[in-house]
Amino acid sequence: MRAASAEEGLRRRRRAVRLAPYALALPAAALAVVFAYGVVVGVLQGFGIMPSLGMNAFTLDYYAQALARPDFTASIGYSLYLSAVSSAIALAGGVLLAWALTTMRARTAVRMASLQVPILTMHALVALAVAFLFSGSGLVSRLLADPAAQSAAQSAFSVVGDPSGWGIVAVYAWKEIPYVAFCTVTIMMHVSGTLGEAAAMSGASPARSFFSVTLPLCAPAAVQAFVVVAAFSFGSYEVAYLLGPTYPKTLPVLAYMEFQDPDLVNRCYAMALNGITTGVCALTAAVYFIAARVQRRQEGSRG
Amino acid sequence: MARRKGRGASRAAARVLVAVQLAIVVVTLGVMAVWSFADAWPWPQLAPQAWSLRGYAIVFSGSSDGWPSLALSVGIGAASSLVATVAGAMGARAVCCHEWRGKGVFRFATMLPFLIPGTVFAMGVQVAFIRMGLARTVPGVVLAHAIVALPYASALMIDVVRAQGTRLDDAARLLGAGRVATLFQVTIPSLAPGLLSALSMGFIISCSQYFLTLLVGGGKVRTFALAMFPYVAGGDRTIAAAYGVIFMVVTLAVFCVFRLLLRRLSWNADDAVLYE
Amino acid sequence: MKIELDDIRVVRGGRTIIDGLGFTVPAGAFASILGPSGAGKSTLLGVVAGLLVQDGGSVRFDGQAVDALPAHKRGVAMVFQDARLFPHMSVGDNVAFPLKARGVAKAARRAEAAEWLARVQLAGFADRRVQELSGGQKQRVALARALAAHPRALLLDEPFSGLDEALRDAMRQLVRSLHEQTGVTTLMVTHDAMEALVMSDTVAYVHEGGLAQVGAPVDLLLHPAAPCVAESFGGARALEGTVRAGAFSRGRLQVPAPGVADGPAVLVRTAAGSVAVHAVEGGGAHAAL
Repeated sequence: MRAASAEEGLRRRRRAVRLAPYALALPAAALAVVFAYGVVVGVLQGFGIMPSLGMNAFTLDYYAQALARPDFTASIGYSLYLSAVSSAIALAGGVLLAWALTTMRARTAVRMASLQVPILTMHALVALAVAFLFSGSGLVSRLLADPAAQSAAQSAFSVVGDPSGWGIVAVYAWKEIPYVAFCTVTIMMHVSGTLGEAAAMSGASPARSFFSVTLPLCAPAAVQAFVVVAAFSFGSYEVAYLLGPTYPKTLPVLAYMEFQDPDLVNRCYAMALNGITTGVCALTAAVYFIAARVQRRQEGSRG
Repeated sequence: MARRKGRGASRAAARVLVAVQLAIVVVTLGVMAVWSFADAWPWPQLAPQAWSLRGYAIVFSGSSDGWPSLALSVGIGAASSLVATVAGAMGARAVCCHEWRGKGVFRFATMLPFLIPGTVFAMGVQVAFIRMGLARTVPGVVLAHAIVALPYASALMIDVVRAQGTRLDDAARLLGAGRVATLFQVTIPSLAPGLLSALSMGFIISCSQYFLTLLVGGGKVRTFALAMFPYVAGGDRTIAAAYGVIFMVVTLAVFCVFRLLLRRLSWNADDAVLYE
Repeated sequence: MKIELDDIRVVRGGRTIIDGLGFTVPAGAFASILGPSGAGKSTLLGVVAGLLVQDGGSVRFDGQAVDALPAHKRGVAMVFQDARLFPHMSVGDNVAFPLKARGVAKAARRAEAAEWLARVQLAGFADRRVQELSGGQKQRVALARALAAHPRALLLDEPFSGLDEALRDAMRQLVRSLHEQTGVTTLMVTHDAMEALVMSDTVAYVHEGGLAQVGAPVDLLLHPAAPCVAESFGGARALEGTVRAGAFSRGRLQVPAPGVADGPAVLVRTAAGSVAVHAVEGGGAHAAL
């Protein structure tokens, strides 16, 4: 009898150990499920499934309409262009900034000021500051103004609504270069301190040791940050709304415009646009996943 | 010899780059601060003609719900960062200290809010929240903010927990400490730096949310970001700048408080570096 | 407290780490689990401690099966290879931790913690921070902390591996003397054959998840039951000790050495595998345990 209860107790313990991780993962999984639920509801609406309006039939009409839209190509092209340029600048600038901080062995305060402060700042505020500086009545335009010009309206120089979107890119650069740097600098400092020195001992020049040792090891973290920036800038609303031109609008701005339409059926249309946005981001997610794999393998070998 | 000179040159270049970065940050925020105190600054003057606190007065007056929205933002920020941090910490424990099926899927799932744009999530989840009765409510906004903060909290806590594992917990159990005692006397204190970082990150993310709060809160939940945005989008620049300065001051203050706590609680020199 | 291990089986990731292992540690004895790295020794200790759940077999304390009990209810304390002192507490609070867990009042806790610190020769260290200690000091605090838990059994997982040689000897003496003072059943995992020989009443040799031999140290030395047991004592440095009345002794190890003069002596293993004791001329002074 004693043996039976010991067996029972052992089995109970083993079950508890097996179930423990699932119980621990529950809260985060719940949040992720709500997230997925929201996204799926949206995707379904894009396919015309809106039970509250009695629409239950799967249809590709809204996607067809979205793609056939006269300004669609311009919009998606614009979004892609802004996102690509911003994230490329963020990646290059971020890695460069991380290199600079590592090379000069920056003190904590310097790292804080140059990285954390931009990360803390809201995108909308950066857009505001860009407008302060570069809009038609902004500081820079005042500095460069033709003294004869009587009003701001006559100034030829304005960032708000400029079709090239350089103001938007400037905002993303201001925010995301420090972000990429932040994600990369810790690893870079660690690597440059240990492996970089080893490479230097064995005769490699600083440039060679950076490009063949430091950079490859920081690459997964940098690529992950790049992907996050790309996905974010592609799907973001505030900055494009504040500084973007009336034509073309970025995809999220377009989608929200349709979303606010009093005719609820336009929601499906908006969601189709969102679905396309999500599709593009899914590609970047795949890249992220691969980079994460590579990093995990690196972690394993570094121990 | 040439190498040493080369290294000196690269260090000088590095210093210049960092100085440029710092200058850009200072100028940007400085301009905003200056505008917030400018009363009249007509074109083409290079300096304000009149200074005043008009912007700030309006922000905090009754007409502009500056105080209530600030209080609400702080409250929602605290709540959502707590939810995200606890969820992230527990999930990190599961990922790092146990072998189980679905671990990979779970890890990826917690990173999804990073990769699927917030606008898509916001527009989709609005309907979902209406169904769940969470739309236009504060708990709904807290939940939405927590979801957006989850990837940050999760990634941070996984790093922290992996470094520590269950070593200290095992030691505590084998000294007679039960589950609750171990949690509060050993686990949480030893993970404090990571927890604090995740909390401060979550708070700041929550305060910065505009579009998500607008859609999920339906305009009824007026956070500071919501009160601020219309001024930023158009209209009085002085008031917008005042809002901006207040926002920066509050978030910087919260950040500094957390860093101070972090320094006091960090008993390892390494920790301070890790949680920058 | 008598510890009995009965047919323990542990399978992890498809691999059988421990297969049908069982032995007994008499109450109050000092037992060593000896074997090469990766043999499953620490896993076995984890099963006894309750940190790991075994896949088969039973652990009994004083005849009662403890398999259903979680680690904190078993009344055992463990000293780990990496000390594992709580970094956010002072040395004194670390040692007082198990007392706090049992609800002992603050004043009594601090007093007892101070006592234990004195017993490990760290009197006055109570207010120091853990980060200020050297490796040897950390292990001594870990020992004091484990004993402050008034455990029915003390488990040691390669506690001296992280220390340098000179320190190791001092620590061994300390552990031995504490064992003699407290009489607590002690189970130590080690890969150092000499350590096991010299400190234990019983040695269990674990090889590839199974028990190769168990018995008094002198039995493993003189009558190894398996080649792995024999090899682990061979090739080691010679063992210094003292001969008195025809017996070589070092610590708990007693080897009959008929015909050897009293005084300092050296025990060596010959290439053929047998053991010989030689008296040392001129007596190099060395500390006998």
